[in-house]
Amino acid sequence: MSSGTDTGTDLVRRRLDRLYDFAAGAGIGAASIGCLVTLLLISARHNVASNVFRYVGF
Amino acid sequence: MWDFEQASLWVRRWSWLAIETPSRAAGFLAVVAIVAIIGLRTELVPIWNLFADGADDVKVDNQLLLWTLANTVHDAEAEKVIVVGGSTDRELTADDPFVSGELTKRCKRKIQMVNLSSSSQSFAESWDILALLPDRGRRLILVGVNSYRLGFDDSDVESDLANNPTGAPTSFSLWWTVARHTGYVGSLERTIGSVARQNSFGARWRLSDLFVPRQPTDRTPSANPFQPDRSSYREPVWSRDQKVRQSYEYIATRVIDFRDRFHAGVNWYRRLAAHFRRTGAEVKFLVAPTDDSFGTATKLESADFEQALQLLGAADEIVDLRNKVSLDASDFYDMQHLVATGREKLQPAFVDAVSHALGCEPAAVN
Repeated sequence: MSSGTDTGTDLVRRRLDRLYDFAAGAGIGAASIGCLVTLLLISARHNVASNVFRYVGF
Repeated sequence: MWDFEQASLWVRRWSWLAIETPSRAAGFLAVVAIVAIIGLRTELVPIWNLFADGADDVKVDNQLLLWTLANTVHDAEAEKVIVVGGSTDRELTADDPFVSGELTKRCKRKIQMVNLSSSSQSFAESWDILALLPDRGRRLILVGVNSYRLGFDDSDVESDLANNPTGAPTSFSLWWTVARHTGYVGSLERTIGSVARQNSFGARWRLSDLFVPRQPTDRTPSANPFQPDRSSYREPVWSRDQKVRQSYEYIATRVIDFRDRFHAGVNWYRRLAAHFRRTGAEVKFLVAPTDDSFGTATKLESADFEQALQLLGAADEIVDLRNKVSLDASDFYDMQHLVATGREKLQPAFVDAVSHALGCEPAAVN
């Protein structure tokens, strides 16, 4: 039978785990956006969008 | 029909997208949502104008233009006459409140004249500035044209797309028009470049600018209405020899260029006119007078220039201020920029021409 303290500790631990998970997800989100922006900058530098647009026939 | 287990298995297959647990998904989506909201707000809300409140020590040309632009955008209901063009057009008119008062008296209704011309304003800049104005209310747009401003082609428009010395951000309508007609897809990002440009001529960016646009404050009229604050050219004017030398430089560098490229320039201005007419504005092309020293250059290119004006719409679409009043050498700083005395002489002709374009009754003749 677990004591009240143990239940409280478990609760805090679970909340911390969720917080770390949230932060990990935020970090992955930030990294994804960073990769996307880098990709866009490189594409712009090499006129990728213009070349595709012209190739498609506009 | 999927049950919960199948849905759960399907979700787990995408664990590499960081949606393995609800908390992780919440963190991921929170960051993406915040960045998307800030990004969209930055690009779509007019927070880019750092000179809107006139607080950043506004003194000259581009700074004044942005301050004036903010005031014009703010007052969306007034009937407007908007002038865009190069330095020749910037120097053409008296102070905006003064000309507005004259037009209001002539037309017997409230009219606001705003001169949003600037030094070497490119075609793309003119379009971007006009695109920032609200399309409510009656608008008469006067686009300054001369052989310098008509001598450009598609490659110039492409390279000017992201290069606005005034700091005005690129408009989506121009971006799309350039993409359709040349296949060049410019950057959709408008604000960072605009803010960077404004920083380069003295604006101070604050973090609060990311969230709250600066509120426009009224500009005080210039002390001398014929020497507006936006004007860079003051007496004493150049000598005849200096003006003639300038015209020879112009002939050497511009005349052949104009002949080769004015058709492309005309087409772009016709697209500009068509676009803004679709938004409900009237668009006319403004031709400013020049000094006699420009005469040789004028003779060399007059046939091409007159052809360009015909292509732009001939008499119906042109407000031609050449030969309307007698201007002499002391009225021009150089071969094309007026000084205060020239502005004062030209003012009645300008008011006549604009009020005619607005459909106002002619002034009574004493």
